[in-house]
Amino acid sequence: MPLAAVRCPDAGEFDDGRPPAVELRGVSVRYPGASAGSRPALADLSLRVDPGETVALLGPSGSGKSTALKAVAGFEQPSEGRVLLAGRDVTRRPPAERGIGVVVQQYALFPHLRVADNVAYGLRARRLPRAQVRARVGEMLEMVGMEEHARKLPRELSGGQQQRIAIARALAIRPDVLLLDEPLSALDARMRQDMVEELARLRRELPDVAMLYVTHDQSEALALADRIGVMRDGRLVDLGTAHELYHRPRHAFTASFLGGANLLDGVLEAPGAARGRTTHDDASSPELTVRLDAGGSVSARIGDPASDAGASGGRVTVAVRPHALRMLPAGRDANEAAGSASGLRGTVVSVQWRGTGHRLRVALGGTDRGSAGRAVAVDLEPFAAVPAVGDAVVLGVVRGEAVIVPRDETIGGLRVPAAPVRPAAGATA
Amino acid sequence: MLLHSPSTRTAVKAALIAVLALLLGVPLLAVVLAAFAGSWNGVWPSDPTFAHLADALSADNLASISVSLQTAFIASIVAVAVGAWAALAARSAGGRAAKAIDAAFHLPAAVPSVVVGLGLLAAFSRPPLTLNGTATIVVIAQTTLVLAFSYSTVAGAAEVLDPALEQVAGSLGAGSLRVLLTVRLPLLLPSIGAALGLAFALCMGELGATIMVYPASWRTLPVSIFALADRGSLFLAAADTLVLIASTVAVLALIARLRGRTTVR
Repeated sequence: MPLAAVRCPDAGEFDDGRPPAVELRGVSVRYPGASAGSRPALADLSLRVDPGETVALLGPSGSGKSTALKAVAGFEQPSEGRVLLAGRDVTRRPPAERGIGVVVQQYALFPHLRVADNVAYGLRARRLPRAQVRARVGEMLEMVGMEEHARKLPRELSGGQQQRIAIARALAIRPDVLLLDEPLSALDARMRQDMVEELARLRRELPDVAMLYVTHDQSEALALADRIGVMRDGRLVDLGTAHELYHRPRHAFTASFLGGANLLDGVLEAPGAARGRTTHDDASSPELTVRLDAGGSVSARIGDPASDAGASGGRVTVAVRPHALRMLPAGRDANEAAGSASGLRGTVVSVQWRGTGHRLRVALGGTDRGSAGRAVAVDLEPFAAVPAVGDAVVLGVVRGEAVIVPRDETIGGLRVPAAPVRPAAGATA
Repeated sequence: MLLHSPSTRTAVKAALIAVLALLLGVPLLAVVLAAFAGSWNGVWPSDPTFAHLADALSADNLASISVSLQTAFIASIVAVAVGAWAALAARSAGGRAAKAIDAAFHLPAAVPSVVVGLGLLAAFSRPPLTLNGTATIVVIAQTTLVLAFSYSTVAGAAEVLDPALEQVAGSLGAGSLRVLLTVRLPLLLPSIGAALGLAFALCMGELGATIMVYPASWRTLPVSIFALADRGSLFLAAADTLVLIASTVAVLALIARLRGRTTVR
């Protein structure tokens, strides 16, 4: 497995003389009782969050993202590595000495305390004078718009209101770091959207608070984070700005998890020979032609120029998002129409209406032996003609939208089954 | 099993009432009738009288009631305090230690009460620690016997306590003592109240171990009732039983009222 790909080099971040608000150095967490050979819940994570920065850890369940957050909060003890807060080593310090605000998934409000007492909890633990506690509680409740609920018990509040109180309670102690563990996953879709906007407003109001935001929802990460770390199997596989990860994933997993890209295996042809043009997005990465295992070929750019995908000329994977695939009119010469793909033939195995448009699943390779789950997903443009199940179609790729990533055989689900490789002459232009 | 037809439901209800009446109603009714009976030769008792009840509330018996109440109070409070502490400790320790504590505290429930009494006699009848013949040994016997119930009642509640609550309290700056006093104990209060009620009721009726260890100066009500019944004074024993039930129910009602005030959920 490739090492964690950290795009932003550590050097140069000390420019303003401030140490990072949170720094993890090679942190591993092994749960007690786990067998020695099993993989740790968190493996060798190095990450830094600068003051005022929001970093989202994005990954499926069991990817170690919550464990990473617990290691920062002090709820889990790292088996290796160090945790630093503002340059201070807190690895062996209890949570009470870290001064971090934590908001967890199910809010964890104290059910026996009224809203105001919940918010005051951290202030009283710090033995602040009564008048100061009252003033700060009022201030925090006002910030989250919950002043009129101060005398209520948590169970009398809705999920969204409870979440606001949990945030007010965490911020009442004026932490330099706020940790949010799947804070919106218990809310319904509409409330979640409102809370994302509210969190974005909070971020603007608290420009010095560093936030670590753990989520499995890519839209929350894209909306709130300055940088996103993609986690998988206890490891950080990719780290960068939302824009970098979305447009230049350097790992097949990043491409499939962030934006649900189709992963098409293929073999690299001579670099730049086919087109030699540059993309609108990144002038430094030329387009290369990849002969796909499923038949046909695609022009694609390399996601991360530093990776070795382009160097070997060997077996690679092309990541294409469903909305970048186009269904070409039947009968026309595919080479001309496709722009950056040719000979991508397949059979429609399912059509799903999603309100804003249709999603097709197309088994590539001209055969229908791939099941619907293994076929590529294609999002039709609005008002495009919708084919029927069983129709033979030819697909094109929007120019500049196909990205070459190193092949990773361990990712299932979105992979297209490899059909016998056709003769190169018949497939390329 | 879900019953849908009204006639089956009625039949099941009737069967339940019949079983309950046989198990609980008949013995209780017999005790009440016997307590007020002058004689009982036919199917029903005759010559109703309050003499037995007056006897049961005489000075001698009032001392027994007082002994029973004192023993039950001290034993149940000690048992709940130790049980709750052990339950919280087991939960914090986790893993193998938790299992060991669990097993140790459930042991008294598995051992017959007579064995507990015999064990205490054997252990505390000679120096360095001679408790035989004191009230303390009775309290210890009852504490030991109800410990398992108070432990498992609190442990059950501690088990479902959300660990996130304690973690968040810690992250807000609360030390472990503060977390215990402001989060864990308040949330466990309902189960602690329940454990107290259960322990008290069990102590009030305890006979097996008490009869092995009690000194003449510290005779609980069940021991008196057993002695009366043994001597054939069934009507007097029944009157004493009524007093025992009444005092237990009165204390349980008091505990329930206190619990009602503390319950938050």
